[in-house]
Amino acid sequence: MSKQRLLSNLPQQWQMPLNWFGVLLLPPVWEVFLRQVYFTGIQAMGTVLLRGTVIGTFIIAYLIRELNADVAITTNILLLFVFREAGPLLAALLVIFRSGSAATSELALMQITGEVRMLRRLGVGLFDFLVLPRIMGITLATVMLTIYLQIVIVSGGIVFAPLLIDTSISQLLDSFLKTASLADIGYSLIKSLAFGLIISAIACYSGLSFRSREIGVVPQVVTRAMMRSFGYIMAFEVAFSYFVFGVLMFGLFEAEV
Amino acid sequence: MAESANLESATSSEIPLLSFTGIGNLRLAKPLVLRGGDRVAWVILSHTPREMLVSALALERETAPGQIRFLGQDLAQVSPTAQGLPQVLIVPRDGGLLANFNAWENIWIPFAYHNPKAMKDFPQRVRLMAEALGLSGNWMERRPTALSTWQRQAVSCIRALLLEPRLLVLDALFDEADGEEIGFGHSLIEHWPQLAPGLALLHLGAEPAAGLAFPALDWAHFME
Repeated sequence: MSKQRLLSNLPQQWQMPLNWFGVLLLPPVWEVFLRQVYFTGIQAMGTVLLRGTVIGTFIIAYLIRELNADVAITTNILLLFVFREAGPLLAALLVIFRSGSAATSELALMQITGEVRMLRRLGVGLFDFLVLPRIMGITLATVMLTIYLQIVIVSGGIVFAPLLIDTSISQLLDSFLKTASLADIGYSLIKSLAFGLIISAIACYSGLSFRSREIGVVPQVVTRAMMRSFGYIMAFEVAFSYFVFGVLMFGLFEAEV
Repeated sequence: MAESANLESATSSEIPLLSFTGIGNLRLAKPLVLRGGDRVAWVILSHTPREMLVSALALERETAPGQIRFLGQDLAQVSPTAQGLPQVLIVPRDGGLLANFNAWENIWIPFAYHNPKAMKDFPQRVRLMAEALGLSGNWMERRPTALSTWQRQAVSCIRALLLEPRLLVLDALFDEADGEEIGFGHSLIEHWPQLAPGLALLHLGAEPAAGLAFPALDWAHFME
């Protein structure tokens, strides 16, 4: 049975994602996807390592000191705050500032210089070549960066905390691994996936819907896209936390059970 | 008032590739007809009708019924081939290349998009076309900003020809052309039958000198 016939026999809701997957495997689309993953994920790792370590260590040190933390509280800080919330959020902010802005400005400039029109004239699908690989690439890279950032910050916290409280690295690591569950991993993965999709979709939409011919307007479009991404990410953060854990505003409000 | 400089008349009983009677405020007394294999220049002195014609040929603008016909049907009814390939391709004066990709990638992207399984002869075909058009050295690895105007135009022509459109439109490529650009133009027109057998070449410009500067052209037509 040919691929097309096999595809047409599938339910409607499966056909589009499988079509997209087929398009992603086209050599030029795959090339753009790999470049995006490299720029958003691989190139950012140095930045993440430095900033993640600094930010994470300061936050953890401050919280441990102010809360007069013991092993249990420190573990909760690392898990509930760093792993579940701060990790995905910090990674998303990094992606917005680096990749979201770059993607928006690149697409807007392509509109101004006529490259988008040229692609259309060559029969190259704009969604196929410009949007799909960016969305897939930025989303995958956001998930990768989130995992990387979580490892960096949690590791930094586990290494640094014994300097402040009466515990050892192995005790803290053991406590963390016992407390963390698959639900925590799933929760942060779903959040990072959603954040990546939001950032990339807004970047592509803002860049491609740019209609002005003035290059001076591009920074405004980029700023608007970044602020919009941040707004939608925070809205998702709040809604998802409430949906999963029944808590709003990082535990200030709880849902009635 | 329209004049023709007939360098060689084309006669054929086949359906004309393109039949043009006017656009915007431009109206021709007799339709201009283009056939497969023709290499022609149309000089339209007014900017607006020329821009409108380029947009119409790129299927970005609707035209009145009967004004422009492609293979016997109105331009608005022309659709890409079964493989999604456009039947008319435009080469702009600056080449229209993607700035973030080098010359090789610019040629490869649309071809690989439309023909992902036909890549076997691709490098050889590119090399042969590049030689015919005078491209040499490490042009493939250079980004568009590192290429001269005629090199960008040549890369754009190779990119378009590999997609095998029925008609290649050069949008004012040779208007105010320097020596190198004129040299490239001569190469393109001279090697056209080998580069694009059966395909038609149309240069749309605003400069009468460009229409007469290429003796290898089949004919040129001037319109105000």
